[in-house]
Formats: sequence, C-alpha cells, structure tokens
Amino acid sequence: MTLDAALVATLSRWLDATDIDRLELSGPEGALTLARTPGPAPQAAAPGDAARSGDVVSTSLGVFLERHPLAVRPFVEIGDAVAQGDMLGCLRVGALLTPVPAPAAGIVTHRLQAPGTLVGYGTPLFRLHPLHPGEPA
Amino acid sequence: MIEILTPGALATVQDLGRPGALGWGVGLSGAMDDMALAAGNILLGNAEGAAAIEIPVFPFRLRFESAAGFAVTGANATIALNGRRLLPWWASRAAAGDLLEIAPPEPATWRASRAYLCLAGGLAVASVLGSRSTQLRGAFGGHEGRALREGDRLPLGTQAAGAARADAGLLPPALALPLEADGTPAVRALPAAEHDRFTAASREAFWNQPWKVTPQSDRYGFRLAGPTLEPLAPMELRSHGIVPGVVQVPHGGQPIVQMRDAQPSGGYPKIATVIAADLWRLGQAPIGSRIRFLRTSWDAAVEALDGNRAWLAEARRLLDLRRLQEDAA
Repeated sequence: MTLDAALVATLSRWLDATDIDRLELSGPEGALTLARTPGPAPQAAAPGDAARSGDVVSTSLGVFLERHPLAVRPFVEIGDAVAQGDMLGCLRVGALLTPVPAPAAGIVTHRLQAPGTLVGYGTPLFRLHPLHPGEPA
Repeated sequence: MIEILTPGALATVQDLGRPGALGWGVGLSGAMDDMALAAGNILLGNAEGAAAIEIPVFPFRLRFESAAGFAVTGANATIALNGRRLLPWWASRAAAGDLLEIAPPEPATWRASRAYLCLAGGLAVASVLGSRSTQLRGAFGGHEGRALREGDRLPLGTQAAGAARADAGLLPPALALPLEADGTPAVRALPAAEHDRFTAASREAFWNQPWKVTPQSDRYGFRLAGPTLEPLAPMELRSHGIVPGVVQVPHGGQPIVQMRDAQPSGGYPKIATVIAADLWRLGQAPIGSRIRFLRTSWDAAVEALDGNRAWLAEARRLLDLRRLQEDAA
C-alpha cells in the first residue's frame, strides 16, 4: 500500500458515500486512519465554483480558518501582497492545524470560503492575482 | 546548543515537575502551564515532559548555535526568526546562527501571561531528583538552579528517531477546553479541610465572587483580592503539608493559591484546593485579571485530569498521522 494523497482522496470519497465513520488501514509502510468529522458534510466544489488555474485549493479535509485561533486578525486581507509560502489560512481537524500556504507570489483578490466551512480535497480557498518577480505590486 | 541573548526576567528551565519529592521537603516546580509545555513537546515529537524554557517577561532573545526544531506555545507571543514572523503553537525550524525573538503577547482570543519555548530533543540539562525543572528555593535543577542570564548556553538533547517535524500547529487547549463562570475564566476546586470553619457568607463569596490576581503573584503563589473571608473563630494550626493548588486564607482574609514553587508546608487555614487538572489555567491568568472558583467533586477532578491526558494523546495521534501523510507526499 502506498499512502499517496490521491489514494487518501479516493478513499475519502468512497467513505463519504457510506455510513462508515472510521476506516483504519495498516501495512508495511505505515498506518492510515480516516474518520468522519461530526457536522455537515464537506462542501463539494460546485461545478460553477470549479477551481480556476491559479486558485489556491485545499489539499486536505478540514475546517477552513482565516485566522490563527489565538489571533484577532486574519492571516491576510483582500488586496494584500503575499510571497510564495506565506500563510493564507489554515485547516483544522480536531486539535490539529495545517497550513494553507501561497503557492506563488501574488495579490489576494478573493477568499472563496467562509471561515468555519468544512472543506474537502480540492475545494478552492483563495484566488491570487499572480505577481512576477520584478513586477511592481 | 542555544545561547541566551536577552533573558527577560525570571525565565527558567522547566519540565512537568518533580512529583514525589515533597516527602524530602522538595517542592513540585515544573511549568505553570503544563498543558502548553506538553503540547509544544508533542508538536516536536518529544516526550511530553522534555525540558523547555518558561518565559514570563518579554522580550526574550536567543541564538541557535546549531539547526533545531522548536515551537513556542502558551501566551500568543510575537515570534520572529531573523525578523520573519512565525505562528505560535506551531512546529518551526531554525538554522545554525538564526536569531529567535519572543516579544510581548499580542491581543488574543485567550489572555495568557507565559510563553514556552520547546526545542526538538528537549534541553539536555542534568536531571536532579528525577526532573530538569529549576528549583529556585533549593538552587538546583534547571540551569545552575537559577533563572537564565545573558550569555547562558544550554545544550539540546538528541531528537528521537522518526520524530521529524510536521508543518502543523495545535489548537491551544484553552480554546479547545474552555472553562468560564459568568464570562470570567474559571478553575475548578474542592473544599479543603478548614472550608466549613469559615462563615457561610465567606464560603458563599469564595464560590460566587470573582477574584482579582494581584501583582503579588508569582511561581510561589497567587495572592488574590476580593471579599474578606472570615473564620467562624480564630484558627491556630500547626504547620502541615500542602501542595500546589491549596488556597490558604491568612489573617486579613485575602486568599493565596499555592503555585508550582510553593513550600511543601504551611500553617494557614485552607478553604479549598484548585484541582491539578486546572492549575495551568490559573498559572496563565495575567496580573490584574479576574478568576472564579467552581466547586467540583473528587470524581470530576480525576475525570478532568483524564480529559487533559486524552486531549494530549489525541493531539499526538493527529500529528503522527500528519507526519505519515507528509512522508508519503
């Protein structure tokens, strides 16, 4: 068994279509646990909101947060210039927070999900207007 | 190795304390917010009780002499590595020569006063009586038994095999396990031996009024201000064993909560004991803030401790899964 992101995404989709709350797989390369998060089902990206190229999409399942839970201000505001790797948001699964980094330098033009939304794999989260090195912000 | 450049004041090496040493007259010590210390260690793949630095006064600056993983937990400090801002409660990595600055906490959804700098592998200071915590009164443990000073150099332990960091953070337990009474941060407590020897009005006030954390509050004890607590009759007690969490009422009627560096004995009447599972909440209460006491039962106190352990175990499980995902990616 190879635990790649595509396999996890496929298993998550299969699991989503069943009543199974928890799946545990183990093999020589490691163990995988998929558990259903209580609450509304993750929002599948509707055809109309299909990710455009350049959109920052979710790479995991979780609750989308626009600010660190301790912070009173969001990571980024619309109109902010960000560098590659800057944190745009994070995803929460239970106590765990994982980053949503900017894939490239750009200006944040849209936040595509409301804070607190449960998102799935591939859900578009932010839209960036690309900035190339040397281009004035 | 790390070198302390700006120690603030009263920054000390702490772990989860020195339980079992009270019989020798040696106090508990350990992190005032043990949940923050354990969570920071979990973020780095360390054992929960690896030694870290407790920082009560800011700014605190240090230089990494070698590459190391680290996490700053506790209060929502302003953290910068070579000037680049980092998140609190997040696993980060420094290269040899990097400068880390931990500046005063920013406005936050949780008001807290102490930050913890946890390091991959933990601080490799000597263990004394089973703990690396600083015992200030006895001047042993930690780094030379004292608060850190400019120029101190502290060795790092070896990182456990397979404990590669994940690019991930943890939700602070104060937000995951909030506890309030009428909007005021609260701690649960049990009635102590002399509880029923205070007037009914005093007992009522103790459990139902907010208490202000006065500036005379530190690692030894928190002096609180509020309604005067009066005994039914004057009490003269012989000195007896006490533990962190005990709420004493000296003459004057203003309570003192014994904290991590409390003496192991005392003679004042005791109205209550803050449960071990909630002592971290009080340990983070800023001077000038208000707290409430919530009366609880022995069973609920034990259950709360189990709840804290379960939360930490779940955090570790989720981080292990995340590392597995990152390794597979």
